[in-house]
Amino acid sequence: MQLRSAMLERIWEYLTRNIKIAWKSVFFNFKQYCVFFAAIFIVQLLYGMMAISATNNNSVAFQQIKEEYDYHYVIRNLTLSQYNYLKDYKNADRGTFDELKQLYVIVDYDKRVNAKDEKEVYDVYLRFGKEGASDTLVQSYAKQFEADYLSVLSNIEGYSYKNYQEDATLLLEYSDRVASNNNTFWIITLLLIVLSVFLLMSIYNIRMNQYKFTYGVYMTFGADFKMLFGTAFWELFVIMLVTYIPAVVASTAIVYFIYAPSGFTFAFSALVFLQVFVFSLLVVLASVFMPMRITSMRQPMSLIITEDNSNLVSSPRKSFNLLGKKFPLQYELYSIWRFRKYNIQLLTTAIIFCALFICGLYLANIYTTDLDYPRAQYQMELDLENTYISYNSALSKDLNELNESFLKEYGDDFDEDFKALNGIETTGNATPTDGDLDVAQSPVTEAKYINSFMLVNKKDVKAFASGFFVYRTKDAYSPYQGEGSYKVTNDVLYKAVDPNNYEDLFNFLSQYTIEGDVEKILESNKDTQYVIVGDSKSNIKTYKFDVGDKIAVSTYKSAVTAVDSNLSGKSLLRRQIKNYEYTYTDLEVCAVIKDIPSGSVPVYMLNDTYQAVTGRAPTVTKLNLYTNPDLDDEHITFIENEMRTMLIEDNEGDVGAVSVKNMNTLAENNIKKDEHYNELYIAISILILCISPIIWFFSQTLYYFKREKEFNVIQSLGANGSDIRIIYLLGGLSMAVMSLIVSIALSYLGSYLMFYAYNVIVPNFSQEYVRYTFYMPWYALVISVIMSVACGFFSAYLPYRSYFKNRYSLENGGSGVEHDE
Amino acid sequence: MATNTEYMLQAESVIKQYRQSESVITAVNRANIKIEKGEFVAIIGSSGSGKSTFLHICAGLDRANAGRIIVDDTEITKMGADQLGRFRGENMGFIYQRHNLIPQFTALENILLPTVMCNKPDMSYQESLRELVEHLGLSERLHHLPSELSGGQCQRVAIARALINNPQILFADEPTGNLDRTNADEVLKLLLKIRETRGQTLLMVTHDLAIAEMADRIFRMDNGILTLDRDYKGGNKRTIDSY
Repeated sequence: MQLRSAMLERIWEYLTRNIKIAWKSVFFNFKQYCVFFAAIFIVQLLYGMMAISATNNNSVAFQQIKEEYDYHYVIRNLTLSQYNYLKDYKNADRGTFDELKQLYVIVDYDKRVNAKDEKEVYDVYLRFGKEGASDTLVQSYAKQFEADYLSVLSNIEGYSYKNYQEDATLLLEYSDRVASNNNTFWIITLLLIVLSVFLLMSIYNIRMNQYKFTYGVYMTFGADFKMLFGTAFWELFVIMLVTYIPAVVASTAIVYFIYAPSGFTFAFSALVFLQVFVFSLLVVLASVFMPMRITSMRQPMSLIITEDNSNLVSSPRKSFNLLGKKFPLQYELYSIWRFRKYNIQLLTTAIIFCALFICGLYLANIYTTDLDYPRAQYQMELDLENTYISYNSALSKDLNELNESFLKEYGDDFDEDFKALNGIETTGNATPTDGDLDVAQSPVTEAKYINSFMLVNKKDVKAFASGFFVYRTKDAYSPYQGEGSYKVTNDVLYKAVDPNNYEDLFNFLSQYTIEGDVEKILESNKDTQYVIVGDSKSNIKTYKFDVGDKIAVSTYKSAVTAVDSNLSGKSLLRRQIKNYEYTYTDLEVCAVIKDIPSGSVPVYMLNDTYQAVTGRAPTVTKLNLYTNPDLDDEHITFIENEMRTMLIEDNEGDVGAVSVKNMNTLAENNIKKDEHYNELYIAISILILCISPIIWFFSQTLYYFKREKEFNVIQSLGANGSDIRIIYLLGGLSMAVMSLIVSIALSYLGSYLMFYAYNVIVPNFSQEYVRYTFYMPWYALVISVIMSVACGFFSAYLPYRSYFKNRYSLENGGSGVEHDE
Repeated sequence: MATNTEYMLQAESVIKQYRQSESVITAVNRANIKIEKGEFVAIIGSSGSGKSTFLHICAGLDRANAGRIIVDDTEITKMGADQLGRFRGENMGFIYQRHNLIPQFTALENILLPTVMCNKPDMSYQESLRELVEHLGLSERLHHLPSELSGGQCQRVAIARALINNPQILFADEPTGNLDRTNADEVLKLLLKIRETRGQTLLMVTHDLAIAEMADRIFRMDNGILTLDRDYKGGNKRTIDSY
């Protein structure tokens, strides 16, 4: 006990001693540390906002889900015996126990009649555990339920197939959502640490350039890395302590104002204080580590003698021949060149935050696009082997007529042209598509899967497009006989269009930009077979198709020689062309879809052509139904019931073979809207933008302060005040011009990288191809450019004012300003 | 490693070169020196002859391109930056031509800087401080900033700073070069007296022959080449009082 107390006393003494010394140093040189106060405040504010919003996002999601669902699980289409089995806890082994333990409760059920055999079917809604049971308990009960009950339901009726569909609701998946949110939060934390360390390290390096003399003296008298690091760390630690509480308070206030309009209870966890503290501590530690490590490796004398600007000069030993040059114009232009290393460092460091500002706004735009992106509310699976239902024009008509029954019920609340069902997309006999998603709205076959490939005129492929190679007839076993030069690829999706049921597809495609006439595909005949094609691969424009362009697709016949199974990609395709026998189908482009999201390029062809090319009959197995986003829960329930009735009664379907799955898109979107990432990204972007002027003014003030000696010398040699003024203004103007160029370049680069990441890289992980347009927020660019140009100019102009003010006061008997090192 | 406890400092074949564009400038050319414990050695030479560079290398403030520096049996040329820093703080004192005081610190804080760098227990330097302040006549000026002190006072603070840790060897780079004659004489007398009292070794660079003549031995640096100029160990050297 005594030992512990003594230890605590020593730790306390150590802390207070270091803090006292650092406190004195920081406040003695308060002006020089102002920039660190601002920078550390901003990074704490950023992180505080992220931490508080993460807590609120979980809370908002929970409140939204609780409003939406009071059950964890829904099991549809149960028979009476199956329903009774669940109702009476009829698991022979666990019955009594379950009732006491309340493994599950049937919250509600819907009873319907199957039109085919007139048997009753039940949809059962279950909640696991007692009201308010912990997530862990609910999860374990759900697992137990699946193991003990769900697995035996089919056996009760003696079915060999599963006659029911079970769906977990967002309430059951809440803990997964929290885990996912937390993972995202930690990734953001890591990114913010990197960004913050970059910022503070940049500022610290600027400071280090000015304080090498001091560190040189310290090292002369025995300071090693530990000592230098300690000195720097404790100073920033003191600053961090001062800004800590105001930053947490400010971030709480900002997040509160962002979230308040949603009407949910604002969640604040005291843990945020700890999170922000630990975050700041890590950032401060990491920020001073490298600059101090590098300094400690240098020789003390080299630090002491580089107290002037020579440490900023790129090539101090290379002099310019100034003889006969115009002063001060050419003199200063040379200076800009002499200090180019410093200028480049400053421009890139300061302006990168302007580019990040634009990236943040881009992210906000992506978030909004993603929210507005049409996603199916329902997925309807038609099991063609077990149902009489097939996707034909009659079913399509029936589905579209849902609007009428909806308006009959809710006509008073909506306009007469309101569409409850916005769109239907279909998928069928899809092949494994190697990272591609079924954005396919029709039966689809991937060319690779059937050893097929597409031949495209060279002129129709964009330069540097990847995944192509030049087609040489001499390298092919059964060469294509068409005229012209071709490029070949197998990154192609063949898609079928039903000539008797095409409206839904065309309606779906009409949301994209289309060149040409999609309906012309219906005019295909023996001589001319039309296709609708996309112009992109991995969401990037790859093709330069025009209406009337010709393409050819191959159909695999046989393998003359076996192909090495270890080959892949282009080398595999080359070998296939050489070793396999193919036939070719000529196709003519009748329409080009400009912005359809896709991994591989889609080629739509009529059913007959599809079958001839792929050798597979087109079948539809799944419908995705898009409901209007303005509908609420009651409307959705109505549509769901109408849909079931229609399937059962009008189409004589067996509900056991048709599953209607609620994809919870509406609920998910509502949660996302209330998570307010859009506003958060904008707020964070603005904060990031504030960093740029901090770097500009801090760096330039120190730079011009160091150059004051040079100006004094040239004045003593005959330069007048006007010359010095020109030197300052020329420096400011040149920085402004360079800022203009660099900020436009970096902003464009940042935006393009975001565009590329979200269109090409992210879909590989998210398994969903959303097409984002390239977006350069002009207002943000204008703000960023104005800020960079203004900072470039004024960061030279203000030191110039200060220089002349001090000189004036000195010349008039004032004491002037004695600058500290 | 050659070890000989008689010597406080041994420099062997020290070479320092600077590359400037296409040409190479040899600032120190195979310099050798052995300084006994308690000895006072002066290096004289014209400006740019390489004497300061050699002093910096001996004190571990700069690195040689070749050669060895051994301080009291420890070869400092093999040390890493951190180890050398600690060794310098505990065993060496350095006085620059310009006082090189930290402008934000008071005279007292500047004097105590080496104790902070070496993490000395709080009270261990009290006696040394009291003695130095008394001898150097700084008691009235301890709480002044360098900008509030005269050149001579600043240099006295710099001497106190170099001596506060009671180093075994003291390096001085024209310590009075920036002072007028009267101030220079006064400061130098104080430095030499304290050194004599403490029995410390002193290696001083100067271009003032009158000062150098108080040393036990005088070396001359000419174009980077170090040669023994005079040896007063047998007697005849000038005393501090006769200066």
